[in-house]
Amino acid sequence: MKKRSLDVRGLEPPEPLERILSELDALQSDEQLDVTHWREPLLLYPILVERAWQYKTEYDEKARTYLISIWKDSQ
Amino acid sequence: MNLGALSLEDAPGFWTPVRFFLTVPVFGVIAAIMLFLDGGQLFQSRWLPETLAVAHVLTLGYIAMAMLGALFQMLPVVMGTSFPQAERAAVIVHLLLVAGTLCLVLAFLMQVPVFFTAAVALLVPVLILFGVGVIVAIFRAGKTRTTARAAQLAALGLIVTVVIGGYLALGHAFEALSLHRGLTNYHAAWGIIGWILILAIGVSEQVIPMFLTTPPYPKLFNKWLVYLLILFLCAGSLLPLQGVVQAAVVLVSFLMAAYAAVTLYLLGKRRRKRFDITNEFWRVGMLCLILGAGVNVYGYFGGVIAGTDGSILSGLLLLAGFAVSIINGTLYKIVPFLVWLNLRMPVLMGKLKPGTRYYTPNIYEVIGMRPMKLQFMFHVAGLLLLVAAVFLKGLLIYVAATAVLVSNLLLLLNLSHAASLYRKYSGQIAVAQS
Repeated sequence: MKKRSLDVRGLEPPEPLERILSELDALQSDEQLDVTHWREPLLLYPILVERAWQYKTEYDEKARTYLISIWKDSQ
Repeated sequence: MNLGALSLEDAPGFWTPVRFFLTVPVFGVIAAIMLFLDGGQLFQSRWLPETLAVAHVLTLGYIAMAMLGALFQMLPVVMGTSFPQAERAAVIVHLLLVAGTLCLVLAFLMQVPVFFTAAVALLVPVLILFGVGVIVAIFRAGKTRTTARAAQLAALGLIVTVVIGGYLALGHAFEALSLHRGLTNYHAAWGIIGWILILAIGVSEQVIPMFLTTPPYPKLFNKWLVYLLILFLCAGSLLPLQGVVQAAVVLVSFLMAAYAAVTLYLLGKRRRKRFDITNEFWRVGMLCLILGAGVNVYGYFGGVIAGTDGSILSGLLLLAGFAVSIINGTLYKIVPFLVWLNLRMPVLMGKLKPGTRYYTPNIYEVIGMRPMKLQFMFHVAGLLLLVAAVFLKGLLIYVAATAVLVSNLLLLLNLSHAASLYRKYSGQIAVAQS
């Protein structure tokens, strides 16, 4: 699966949410979006569920960042 | 694998927190009117019924009102959990908080025992239940990061404050129960530090880097801060040896100033340098926190300020200066965001019917910068005049009261404008999705 990355650290709400969703609109079915975020985007999750996206979140303790991987099909 | 997903049914509607936020400036107006009515004597002693009444208009009607509303919003959005039936619970909590606060204020002003009893009945059970609800909801969600832990500890602070406050109020109501005035210091300490400050620290961990684009707080700084504050509060409360209490007062004041200094440093490091009214409110709040902590220590160790022990001035700085400023500033971020989010939701969810005309206001235009700036100026003027009125008796308090009144009327106007914008465009949500 091809990967695209998006860094939304340092953006003021609601820009991270808008940018992620706009990136997802352009995402191909064989692509995965990796988002780097300073916070866990709890508002994004129900939207992803509603739009039938799959996602996985990991927290990098050292860098204090969340990495949210989003894709269309089950891997 | 989906981790920590919230179902949309759990997400609170627009009015769940906003009903609290719109009530905040109404109590600000009530506080200003009371300054007009009793201005001549309010700053003479912290024990005057009129002073206690204004203090509770601020702590319950303004500060707790905003904090409870914020928690209804933050539990799902920041901590991934929520109250069962949050919308219904919010209506009941809001109603009881308004009625209970008004009862308590009337009880202080009129010294009628039945009002004290009514205030206890209206406020104590609901606030304890709310505190327990927050603690349990966060435990269930399994969240352990700073904001979640701080919210749990603040809820504990709320419960302790309410239990002591309820007992004191019953002391006013029933002669058989002697009034333990000595408990008032514990009530105030748990309220200001255990409840207000600890929640502020937890909220700022998220709000400051997120909305003001600052670097994050130093790792674990805020988490240790809330643990230490609770530890010193417990030590000072449970081990009433003079040396322990003195050490607790000094250490807590030092931590308050340290938190304010770190926050001011971070605010100076904002990545986006454009003028931001929330930033200005938080800077004023943090300066007041440092000054309030200093005055508190000075007064505790016998220092005399304007002929009193400094408790009036430190209370003014910590409540009207610190808490009111950061709440006011944060409301200017949260309310426009809620208007935007709730109106934007059909678009975000991809539920808009193709070809539908749908309008979402720009988040920066929900409340204009000029009205916010104007209100900020009256807020700062009110604060400076109130502080000056502690030192200079006379008519100054009435000028201060005017500035506080105008500030709160403008805040009410600004927040109402945001809410009316939501009301105006919310009708299109159902149409666009049907």
